[in-house]
Amino acid sequence: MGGKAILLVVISFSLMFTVVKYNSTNTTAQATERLTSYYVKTNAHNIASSAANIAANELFRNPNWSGFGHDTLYMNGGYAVLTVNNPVNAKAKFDAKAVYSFFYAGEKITEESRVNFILNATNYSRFGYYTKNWGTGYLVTGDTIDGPFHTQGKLNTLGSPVFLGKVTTKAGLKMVGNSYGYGAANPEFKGGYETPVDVPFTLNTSALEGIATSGGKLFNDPSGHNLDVRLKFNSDGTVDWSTKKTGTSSWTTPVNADLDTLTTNGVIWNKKGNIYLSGTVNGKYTVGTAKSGGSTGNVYLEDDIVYRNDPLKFVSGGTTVTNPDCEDMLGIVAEQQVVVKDNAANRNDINIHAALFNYGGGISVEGISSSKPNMGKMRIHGSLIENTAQTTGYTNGAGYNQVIKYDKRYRHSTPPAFPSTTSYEIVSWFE
Amino acid sequence: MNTGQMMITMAAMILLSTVILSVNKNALNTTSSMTENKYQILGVSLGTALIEEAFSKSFDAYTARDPITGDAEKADNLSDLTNYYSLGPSPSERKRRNFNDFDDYNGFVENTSNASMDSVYSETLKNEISAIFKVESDVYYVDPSTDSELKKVNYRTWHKRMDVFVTSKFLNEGKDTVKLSKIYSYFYY
Repeated sequence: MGGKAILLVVISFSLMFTVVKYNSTNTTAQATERLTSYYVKTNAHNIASSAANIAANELFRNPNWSGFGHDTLYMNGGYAVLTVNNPVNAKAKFDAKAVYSFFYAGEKITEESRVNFILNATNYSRFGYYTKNWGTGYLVTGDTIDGPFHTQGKLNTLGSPVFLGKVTTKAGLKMVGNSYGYGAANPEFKGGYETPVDVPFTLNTSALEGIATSGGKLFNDPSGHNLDVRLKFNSDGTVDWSTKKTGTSSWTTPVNADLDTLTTNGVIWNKKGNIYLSGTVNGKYTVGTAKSGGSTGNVYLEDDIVYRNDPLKFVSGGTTVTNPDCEDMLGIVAEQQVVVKDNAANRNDINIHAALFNYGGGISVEGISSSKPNMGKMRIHGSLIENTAQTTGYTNGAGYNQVIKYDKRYRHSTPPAFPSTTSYEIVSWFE
Repeated sequence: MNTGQMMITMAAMILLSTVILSVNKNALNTTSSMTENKYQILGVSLGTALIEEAFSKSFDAYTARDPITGDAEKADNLSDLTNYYSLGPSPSERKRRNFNDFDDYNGFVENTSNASMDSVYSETLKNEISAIFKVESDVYYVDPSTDSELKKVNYRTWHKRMDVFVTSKFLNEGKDTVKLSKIYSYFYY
């Protein structure tokens, strides 16, 4: 009896130990599988990332790159298959699928990893302030730049100017301090600073003319002369337009037109000449003109050009937030520059709600000089893009005190067909 | 206890001993295997950490950011880049903390047992990880436009490949090497 009891106890122990052994073996096997999986995934991801890096470089150097003759790259025992879509269009999409296999204990373990990204042309309106040439001037303590800033030159700062958005430059940064009482060299980049970043300044007037021809409104003198176009936007969604040959003085009788009918795609373009602009905008439009010789390619502001509602709401400390009641948007494109007319309407402040694109110069004031009277404030609520900054006021008070506030809606939305770069920026990168 | 019972008891004891020995052997194997797995994962992590560290640097010495002014040169031509036979740290970059560009990691060798105090591996020592790893890396140019195998080329391109090798006597008694590779290409948008 005692012997049988012992045998039963031992068999029970043996069963228990067998279960323990089984679990232990399983644990070991799972841990090994996890290790192998970790190693294989790491390698697969490295291969996919490498392929994406290679493609990003190729597209950076050639926006029309459509892949190598071979679409598979082999590396470290794995491979990546590259796919590039539509590089000749506004967006380029790249996808790398990497496969990595590993033999462990006679078993083949395979993992896939994907990296894809989308590149898109940069729309200039997303900058609060873009200037191709910075020149020798300085931003000084007390200056505040709202929105993303970029220059193709070298940015000079004196003391501690404040940049509320991200700052990028192509040629770097020169920081100067302790001169003229401006304190230490300590510019505040609240949105960060990066260099070198190349955002070439380009304007494709033919493309805008094409868009205006098909679905927009193209002004074009049938006899081939330069044409001046006067546009007065009305808050009811109409525009009063009239024309005259450049250099003459007689405007045609204004025509009142419904903007939805006049331009279905929102683009109003003058083939060559100037535009005279004012009024209250109801809707989303881009207005512009190409140049042909001197004294053309300018957009003259004859009075305020504003939306029905200010795009900005001012909160404490002078900061702004987007006004949710504002649905209007305007882009002004001048192959030369935007000029504020020196007239009675503009001598006591001017309000501009728009993204201003000055391909040949910068926003300027007609006949400005240090002997002119003070004209109040020039309030730009939108975005300023220019070739070279122009004088709009003097320290003795002549001209305007310029206040530029960024319309944050331009981060995600643009006026119709507003100019974009010919190079790309990365808009998404997925791993 | 008669002879029969004695025999049964003896058999039971033999069976129990056998099972215990087997379980004990299995437990030792499990411990050994788990420890080795842990070291393998640590090896992969060390390699990945080195790659990530190298990727945080500039592509080339020419494009490295000036730590004081923040300025960085833009490479427009391949001739701006470091020549293929000069890849590696300059004399002023003998310490790892002074590495400022990707190819400074060419020829890099470090052992976790004698890692310099500025090395991230000094942290692993502090954390009392007993295994000793040797981490090595090579950086060289590759040309994906002509070679789908991404092998080393003896001329400058816009693509640098980094191979990292992690070895240790704790990795399958020194027979295994963790090898990781990644390519860094020059672009900015």
